[in-house]
Amino acid sequence: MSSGTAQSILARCLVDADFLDALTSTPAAILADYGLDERTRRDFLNLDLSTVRRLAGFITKVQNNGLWQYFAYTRRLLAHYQLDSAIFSTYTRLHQRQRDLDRRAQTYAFLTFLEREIGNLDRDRAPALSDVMAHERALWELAKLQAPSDLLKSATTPRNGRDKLPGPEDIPRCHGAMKLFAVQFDPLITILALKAGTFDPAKLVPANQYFAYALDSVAGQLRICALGDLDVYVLSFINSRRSIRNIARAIGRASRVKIDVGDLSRFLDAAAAAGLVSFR
Amino acid sequence: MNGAPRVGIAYNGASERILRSFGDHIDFVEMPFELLRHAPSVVSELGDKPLILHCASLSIASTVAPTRATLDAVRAAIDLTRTPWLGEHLAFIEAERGELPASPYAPGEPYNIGYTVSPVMDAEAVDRIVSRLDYYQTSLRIPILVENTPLYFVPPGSTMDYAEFVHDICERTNVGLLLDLSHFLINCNMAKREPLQALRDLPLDRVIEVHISGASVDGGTLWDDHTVVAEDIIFDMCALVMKSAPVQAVTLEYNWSINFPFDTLYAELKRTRNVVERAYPPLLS
Repeated sequence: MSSGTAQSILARCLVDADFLDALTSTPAAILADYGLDERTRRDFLNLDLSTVRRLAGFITKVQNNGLWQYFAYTRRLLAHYQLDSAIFSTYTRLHQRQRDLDRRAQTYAFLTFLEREIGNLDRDRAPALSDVMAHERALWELAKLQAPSDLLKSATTPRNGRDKLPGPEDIPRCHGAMKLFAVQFDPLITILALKAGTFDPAKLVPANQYFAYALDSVAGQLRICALGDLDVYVLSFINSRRSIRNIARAIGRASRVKIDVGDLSRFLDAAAAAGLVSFR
Repeated sequence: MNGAPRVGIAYNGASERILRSFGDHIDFVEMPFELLRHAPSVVSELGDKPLILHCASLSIASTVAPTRATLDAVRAAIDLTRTPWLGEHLAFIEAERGELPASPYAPGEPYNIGYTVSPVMDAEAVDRIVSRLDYYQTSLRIPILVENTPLYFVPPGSTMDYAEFVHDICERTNVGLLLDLSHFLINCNMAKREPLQALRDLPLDRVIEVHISGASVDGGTLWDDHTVVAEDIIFDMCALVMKSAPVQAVTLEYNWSINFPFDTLYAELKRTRNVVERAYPPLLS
């Protein structure tokens, strides 16, 4: 038996998850095919294959180090909740099939996998993790920013050049690219706590709101706005064709609540100031 | 490089900004061959900062030899960087499939782990490694330093412990050692040995370069981690090595994340220099 054969078995364990599963279930039968000397065979039978599996996961993690650039706080929370090893060990099988994909495709694949894994966790297992991940994913998809600290949260700004409220016949539309998702805990507060080293899941305060990420590529600005349920509901009626008056009517038909056009105009004016909508 | 050990950093995407911020405190940048192979222009980002070439492609402990193209590329990188030596891992990255039972994994190609893994430690492996090192040092015409890989378990079939394995290789070649202190700490953690004691078992007189990085615990195992700072024990180990080893370079390997804080890296550089200066006090003028 050559040391090369033992290394071949180890290499296959690290890149072929099905083989590692088989070796774990029926080690004697699997090893019988390799012509190992008795010492090496015994060493393999005594080897803690869970450590080999975790090494495969560790290698997968290192081979995804590019994630640190855009998902630094998602990774920090995975480590904080001691999910790192389990997540990447589970991801190894898929990762090995995707090693030839470009970085962007690999990142999408990992995010899809991670969303599913987080969704399968018990609700209280990793508070704020899915919120931070959604936040960093929105940034990654919208802008080439390197760290969340580069962001601007929504601030008072000029009304996209307008000096008066929009009128009833004005047509709002979503301004630039936007991502919108619900958060349980404010991801920016979580990230600040992680940066300061003061993150404590027991001290998380539920936010239960929506975060909108609006990219104005002309102005080179990314704005983040916290929105309530009603804000999101109203914005969902914008389709780039309805005027403010028609939006009020559509909301009224859907909700059976009369919407004042002036109130709606002021709301959409504020949304424009926040960079979420614009008017022709 | 002569005199007291130089202190440098391992390259990552933030290195250009780091050098602009406090390059005066950094003597060299350790450059990965695998990056240079695909993007040789990165060298121009670093100005005239001296470079050391670090490689993970020669798979010196593998039965699978690197391709001629890889060897030529390493040679080109040596010329480009004007490195004083080539650091390579005492590890295997690829392994033959040979006559093993069929696998759907890339039929016809060797298994490519894409990561350096500690080899089986036996006489046959020593023969293979010695033969490879002799060939590479002759072919590449540059001193080679072999870096210890972390041992998370003893590879099945091993008949030697790590110190014996390294001693055998050093006795039969003139290679130097690149001692990665975090990797060695991981070995000691696995073997339940006190690291300062275990260090004395190594041929420290062959250590030319030292790596410093962090390690973190997950599931009861200590894992290599270049995103966290080294524990105090690493610097104690570094001080001990400096007493008896002809160390020429100490590399901070905090290179897995471009978001590693600059002020932390600066503090680690100072901390490392303090260790170096205690071992090599500046001469009075």
